[in-house]
Amino acid sequence: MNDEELIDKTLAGDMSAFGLLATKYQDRVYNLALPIVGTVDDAMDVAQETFLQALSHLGSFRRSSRFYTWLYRIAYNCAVGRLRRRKRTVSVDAVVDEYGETFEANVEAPDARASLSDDARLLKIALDKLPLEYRAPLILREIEGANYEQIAETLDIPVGTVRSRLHRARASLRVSLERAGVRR
Amino acid sequence: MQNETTVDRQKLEELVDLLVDGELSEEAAREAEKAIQADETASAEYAAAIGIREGLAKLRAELPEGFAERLQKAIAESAPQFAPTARRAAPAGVWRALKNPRAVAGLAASVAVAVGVVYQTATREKPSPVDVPEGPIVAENSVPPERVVPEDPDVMIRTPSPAGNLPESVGKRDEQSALWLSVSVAPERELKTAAFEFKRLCDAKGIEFVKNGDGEFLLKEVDPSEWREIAEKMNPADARSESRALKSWKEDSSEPREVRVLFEVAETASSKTPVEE
Repeated sequence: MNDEELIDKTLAGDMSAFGLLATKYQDRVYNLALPIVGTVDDAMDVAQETFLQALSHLGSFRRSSRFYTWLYRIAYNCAVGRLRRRKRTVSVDAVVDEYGETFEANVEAPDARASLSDDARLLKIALDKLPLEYRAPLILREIEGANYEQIAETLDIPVGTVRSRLHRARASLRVSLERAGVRR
Repeated sequence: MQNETTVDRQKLEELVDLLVDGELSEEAAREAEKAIQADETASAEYAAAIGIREGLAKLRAELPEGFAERLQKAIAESAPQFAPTARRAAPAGVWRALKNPRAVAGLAASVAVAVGVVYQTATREKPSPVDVPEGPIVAENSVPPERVVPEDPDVMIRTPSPAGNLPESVGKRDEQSALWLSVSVAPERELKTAAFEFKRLCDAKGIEFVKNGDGEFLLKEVDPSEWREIAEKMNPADARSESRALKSWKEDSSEPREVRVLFEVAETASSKTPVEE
């Protein structure tokens, strides 16, 4: 069954149909949320919140865009909302906590990063330090494989802005990685 | 000459992005590859972009164990309001009620209200960009008020721009804590020319701005490095004064910010205390 049919069945009262939609997109929604909110627990909460929001507003989905574009927009909003509620400060410089120890923004549990290679870990740190307006288009492009039009629709920005932000995101990552000594 | 080199560089940078993102036709992609390979800087940028892509692909995470079950349970427990009750045949009592004129009038009124609601819903337009306050994220070191996901998820969460409306900018430009640059255009030059040149500098960098009249720009998000490049290319014949905050930001910060730029013709510019360079 395609997305349209699953939506119709859900609206007719069949929750298992929405369960199938969730199974289809849960992985992608989670991977959109994780680089934004930075921790596994928050990403799971955001992913769940996304699907519950989508379910409760499914009746208002106008179908002028594809379902997953609409779903991504909800996910993005939920992730941004989670960031704000957490009142994190994201800075390109390391943040100093109240004990004077430095830690980097978006630190995950140590064991979560241990599985990454050094280069991958440095890339993740550099990605986490990108301002969200640059990070989000890059995540959609490189991790979700969205094209410019889809990114523009999801983030509700012009295609030209998508291009310029992608360009800046890549340039910024390149500089960060060069400074960290990561070789191509 | 310098302009041509700058334009060529920008075109190459664009080509790199378009090629990396698969946004070119086959033929255009072949041409782009040739142009990029012929340029050392562009080749390095292309290689870096591919490397970043490969690296980011490895960051794709597996769904945590147990999450799928947790999500299905949450969905099953959720009770969305749109779910209709099962259709049933109308009971005999309903037909008897329809013979009652009062009941019929009440029913007609309800139908008229429902039709009105449906009409309003169907003709409601999506909020135009003008109606929606801008920017989901402004400065990440600020703490905007908490926002709830709106009822219609098609409406993005947006926060108002901290710079406020452009008409306030005349007052704000005199505040040293705001990021502004005031340009007194040399008498032999035209305001429109200076403003147009500035617009081209912003366009070349892909910087969005809002314009007020002939001479006022609000740049939406500018990196300090980009700002320094723009400032270097502005006409040296025009006198400039900048706020202390702008000077500090461009030298010490790396965060993108909004910057206000005001062009005035030299003989009509109000006298301001020049900021130390």
